[in-house]
Amino acid sequence: MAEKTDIFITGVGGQGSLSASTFLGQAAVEAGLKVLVGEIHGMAQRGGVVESSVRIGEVYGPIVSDGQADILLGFEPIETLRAMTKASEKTLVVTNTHPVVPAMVSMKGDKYPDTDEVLGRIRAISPNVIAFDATETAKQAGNAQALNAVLLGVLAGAGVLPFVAEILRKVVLDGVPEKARDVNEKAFAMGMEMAAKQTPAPCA
Amino acid sequence: MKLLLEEKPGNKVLLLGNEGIVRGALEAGVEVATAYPGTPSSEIADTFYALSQISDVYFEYSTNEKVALEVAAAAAISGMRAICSMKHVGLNVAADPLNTVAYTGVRAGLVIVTADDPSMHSSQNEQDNRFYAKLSLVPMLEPADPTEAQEVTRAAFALSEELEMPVLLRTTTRVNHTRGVCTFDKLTPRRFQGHFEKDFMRWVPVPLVARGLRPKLIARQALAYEAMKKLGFDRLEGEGDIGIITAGVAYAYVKEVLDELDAADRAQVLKITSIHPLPRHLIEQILSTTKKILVVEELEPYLETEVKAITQEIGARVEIHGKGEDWVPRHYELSGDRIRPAVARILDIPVEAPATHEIPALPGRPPLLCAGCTHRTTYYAVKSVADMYDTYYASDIGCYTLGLLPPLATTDSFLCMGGAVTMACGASINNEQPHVAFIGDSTFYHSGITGLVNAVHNRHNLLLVILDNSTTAMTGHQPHPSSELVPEKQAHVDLEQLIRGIGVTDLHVVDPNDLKNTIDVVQGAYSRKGVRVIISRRPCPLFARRVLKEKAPVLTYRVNQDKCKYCGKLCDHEGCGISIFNDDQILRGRTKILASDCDPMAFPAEGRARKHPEAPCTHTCPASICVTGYMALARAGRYAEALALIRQSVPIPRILGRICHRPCESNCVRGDYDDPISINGVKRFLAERETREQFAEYLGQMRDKAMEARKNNGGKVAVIGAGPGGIAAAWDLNQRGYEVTIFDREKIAGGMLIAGLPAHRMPRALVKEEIDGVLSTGIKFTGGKTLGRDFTVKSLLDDGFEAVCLAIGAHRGMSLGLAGEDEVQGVEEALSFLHDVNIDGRRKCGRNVIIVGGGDAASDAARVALRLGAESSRIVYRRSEAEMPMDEEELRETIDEGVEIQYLAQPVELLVENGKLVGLKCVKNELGEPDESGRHRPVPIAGSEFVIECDHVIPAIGQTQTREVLDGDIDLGRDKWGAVPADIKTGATNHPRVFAAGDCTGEGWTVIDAIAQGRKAAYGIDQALSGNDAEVEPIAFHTPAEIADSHRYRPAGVSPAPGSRAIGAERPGSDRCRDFEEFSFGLTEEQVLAEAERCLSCGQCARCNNCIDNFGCPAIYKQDGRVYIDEVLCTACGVCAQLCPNDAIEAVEV
Repeated sequence: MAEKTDIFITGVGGQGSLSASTFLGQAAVEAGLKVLVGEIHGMAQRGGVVESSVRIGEVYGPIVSDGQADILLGFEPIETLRAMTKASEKTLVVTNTHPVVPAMVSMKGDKYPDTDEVLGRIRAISPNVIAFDATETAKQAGNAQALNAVLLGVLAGAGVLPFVAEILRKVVLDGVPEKARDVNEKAFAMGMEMAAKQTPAPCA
Repeated sequence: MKLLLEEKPGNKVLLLGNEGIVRGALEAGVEVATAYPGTPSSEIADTFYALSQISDVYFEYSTNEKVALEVAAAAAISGMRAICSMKHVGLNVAADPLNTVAYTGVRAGLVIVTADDPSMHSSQNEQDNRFYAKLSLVPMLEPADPTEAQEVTRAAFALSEELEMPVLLRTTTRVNHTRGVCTFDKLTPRRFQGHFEKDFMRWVPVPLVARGLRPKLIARQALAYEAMKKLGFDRLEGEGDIGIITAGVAYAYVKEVLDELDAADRAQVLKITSIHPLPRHLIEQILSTTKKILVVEELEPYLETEVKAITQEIGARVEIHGKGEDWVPRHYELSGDRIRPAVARILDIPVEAPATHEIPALPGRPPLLCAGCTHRTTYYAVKSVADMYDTYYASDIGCYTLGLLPPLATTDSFLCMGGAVTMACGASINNEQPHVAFIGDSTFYHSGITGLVNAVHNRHNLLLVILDNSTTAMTGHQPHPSSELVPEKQAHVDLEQLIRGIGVTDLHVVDPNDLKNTIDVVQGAYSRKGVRVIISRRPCPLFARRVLKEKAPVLTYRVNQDKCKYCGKLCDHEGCGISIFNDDQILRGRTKILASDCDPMAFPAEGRARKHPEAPCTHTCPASICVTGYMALARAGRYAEALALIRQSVPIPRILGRICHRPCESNCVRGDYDDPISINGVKRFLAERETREQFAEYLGQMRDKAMEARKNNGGKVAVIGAGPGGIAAAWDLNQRGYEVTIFDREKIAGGMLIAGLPAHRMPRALVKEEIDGVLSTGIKFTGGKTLGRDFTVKSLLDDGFEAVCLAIGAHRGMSLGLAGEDEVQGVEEALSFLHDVNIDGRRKCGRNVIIVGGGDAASDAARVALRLGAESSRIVYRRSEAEMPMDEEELRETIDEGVEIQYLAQPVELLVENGKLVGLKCVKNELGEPDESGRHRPVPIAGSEFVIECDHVIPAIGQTQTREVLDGDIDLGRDKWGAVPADIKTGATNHPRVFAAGDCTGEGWTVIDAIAQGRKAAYGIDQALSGNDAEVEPIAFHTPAEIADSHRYRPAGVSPAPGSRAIGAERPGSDRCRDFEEFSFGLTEEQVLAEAERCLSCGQCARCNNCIDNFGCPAIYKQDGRVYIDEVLCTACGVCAQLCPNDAIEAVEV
């Protein structure tokens, strides 16, 4: 089978997960690789689930098959768990642990699950998990909006992408507005540090 | 975007499929682009729009797809290359021009993009638009990925120009919304040389002309086939005797699954890009070189049917599989996972179902209307009126369709663009059900106008709400005819003028964020018939921020936790156990909005309305019982909780349920519509429904609570008097942890409840059971001890009681002031008479009895006299019936039992013979000027004296305090009537350790007043002894003016279904008047439910969850029972602050 890297990205509308997939796709292009980035638009800004995929290498279509993701990038803990159908024990899971409580939880009196329980469920499927409050990290970097830079920094720092970290870093910084550049630069660096701290098993 | 205009051949760029289409069109030299936005096609339009701002490419957002196609087709007919894009259902709208432009053809290239949406990611159906090519005979191409999207679009223009026909470009979501690497080709320069070349036989397809064009169109199919063959997009790959025929994005899944199965070398794959006409040569080739064929295509078996037809035509012997059972699914988009079984099966490769991980059920995250969405606000306002009825909400297509979800639930149906207007019209034929049609502004322009014209012309009954957020929000804030983002290019269409021009006269424009006005306008529209249109106008907040660049507000809103969920009656926010119903919440939210005379948006918060009060019934109740709360619980059949709620305010609901004088009912708003609700009847039912075991369990719990509290307190308090005031004070003090002893001169507790109330009204056993129950929670009762004789207030304080609550009542009856009154046998005042009967068991009475007075005691004495065997019992009252203090029901009961009433008369002389009373001389009165009580003063008519024979006169003209009991005791001061002055809020007297409650204070004079005062005194004592002044008053005191003001918060605009007050069954007057058995049986469950149903839920309730349960802004959330606002999401629209019944949401500076 041809060499490829399948990345599945999930999050909540407004978190910047679609930008993250575009940045990854752009970085692949700049690295001279073949890439397809799959997105579903329409409900993104209305608080719904937003999923996208970045498939690098010899691929034909935008959809990552069940259990086939090499990397699962989750912007929100229960959305990461929901997307674990795409993962296997070989998948590197990078997830934000900061919850975005669905509005329906308040309305219907549902309970938002405990984060530790969610992480336990994720780890039961794949042991390779980097989990931390990336929203908090983004805030420390200067703005919660830099969440995607933090998480991309983790991917870059984890050494799982088929291109060097600098390519992605440059794409991110070129892709954000001028005034947000410093914050994103810091956020990206903090994400890379986090990857170095939380050493996962080598990605398959 | 600018990048797309750059020449740079060979440049490799990551482009979205939709951007690839734009680049392909630019490379083909496109000059005119038109579109109506729709997912997944919108980015084609948006990209062209952006480019049109920085280049000479012409682009327009057309009013709808039909318009877009007509404009593009005419441009192409006039010699300009044109592209027109839409979502799949848009082509239904444009199908009319499509099917005829196929006949006329075009001169310059015309490409029509139809973006299908398998799986309905953002659509109402997943129709397969490949059939439009077969229907219209217009050539169709379908790319498989973004790279092809660019190439195929470019080729489609060349094809169109070669054939002089429009070309359909069919895409699916996974092509439109996938980014892939595109390689730039050269750009063809734009020419701009439009000119309409007249050619009647081509452009005027009247039947004569069309008949000529039709054979040409058919003939052109063969030309198209040849031309498309040359394009080379269709290709046959691989080798083997298995064939797979596929098209579009399904090709990618086929390739991947073959790779996965390591079977790429075993199958021939025919990838089809030419959807119409099909590449027949390649199909014939694969049919003749394989044994088995699998057709893998999304949605309908379009290729499959064609392939089967060709197989039959050429007589190929090949097995063909496709959409049949267990092969390729027909519904939803495909994926590698979904086609793997079919591909493996055709190859005879066994595959195991992949191991799936079990994911636990997680909270759903459906898309919602955004925080601050103006649609939500409009919906809330409309629901405030419309949800009172069985309203049918016809909705339409746009963001606002998301109103279908709870809590809004304002989408009962939708069909297609513009369908709301016409569906509401159609549904209203022979249907009285109220209905509201919702349509967005852009959708109205798209397809709503014709429906409205129809409604006006055919005199339909229609309430149309146009949700005007100034943009096409759903698809990404595209402009529409009322927008003028670029005034030199776009003129503003005036929506009001348009609607008036159609002939609508009933038109209102509202700002939804002004909820009060919006609700008023909707209410008004609801009361009228005919075509009514409300334009609810305010820009989408996202549009305002992103496109109009409005500055972020300097405010945000926060929940004031001191006010939220806190009614002020209970000591904590969670103290109340009731949950109120959605209908009640929304009604109360509306009541508050409409009643507010302050600006709820005012900043700072001080300028806003004050905390809104309780319902008039509760406001009037001296003990502040939450009437609307227990009515709501009773309505839900939650009787035990309802009783528990009553007990939070009064310890003796069973007794009250019998004899309360019901000031609540006299102030019941329902009385303005038909009859006041039988509030006390419901209370009696609830209290009686409780079983002995339940009562015992309740008492046990309260005793445990009291004993627990006593561990931290244990102060000793004496209560003098075991009437309702003393009992209530003792109950509250006991619950607060004090060790309480009640002293009373009678041996049994109950005070006036026993001494004053006759048994036919208040069964003795019932009083005993309930009062004994109260005492059993840890209160000591010392009976048979009289104040002033056996002990004094001072002696109690000296004996170690830290405080004394004086609740000794007022047991002295007032005298008539007639000569001989004190000496003549046969004259005795009512309280003494009743006391003798009730306590001492006296059974003697005169034969002809006259009772003087008009209050409860008069009625009681008169009716007791009958029961004691009096031949006649007659009440003499100095004013008329209207001034009588006795309530209507009691008067009716009294008369029913045979008591005669002499109005407008007063006694002037006792007639005595031989020391015995033989008659009462009275004088007739007439009514004069009103006195200070507001009642007309009785004025004797000179010379109108008359005599009534009698042997027993019972004055019942009022009662007063027994003065002498406090003689020589601590000087508490006395008013001229002998009452002990006490603070209205705390019962405090002039002595710091002595408090007073009940009749002895000269206030109230009723059981419920006494209870309220007892509880206030308990609060006062606790304040004095514990020094804890942080606690709020358990019962607020309301002035008559405040009580009158509470009517301002009546539910506005309700028109309740007519009903009447329930009356409990009772024994007939002639039967009951001779014994002391109870005569009234109370309400049945059915009656109680009906009464509770009649309750209008006036006032506000702090217990509510209205912002979450009925408004549902995603910025408002609940955590650990508390409500918060997410400041990041909050747009500071301030609407929640308006609708919060408790004014708990406040603006704060960022």
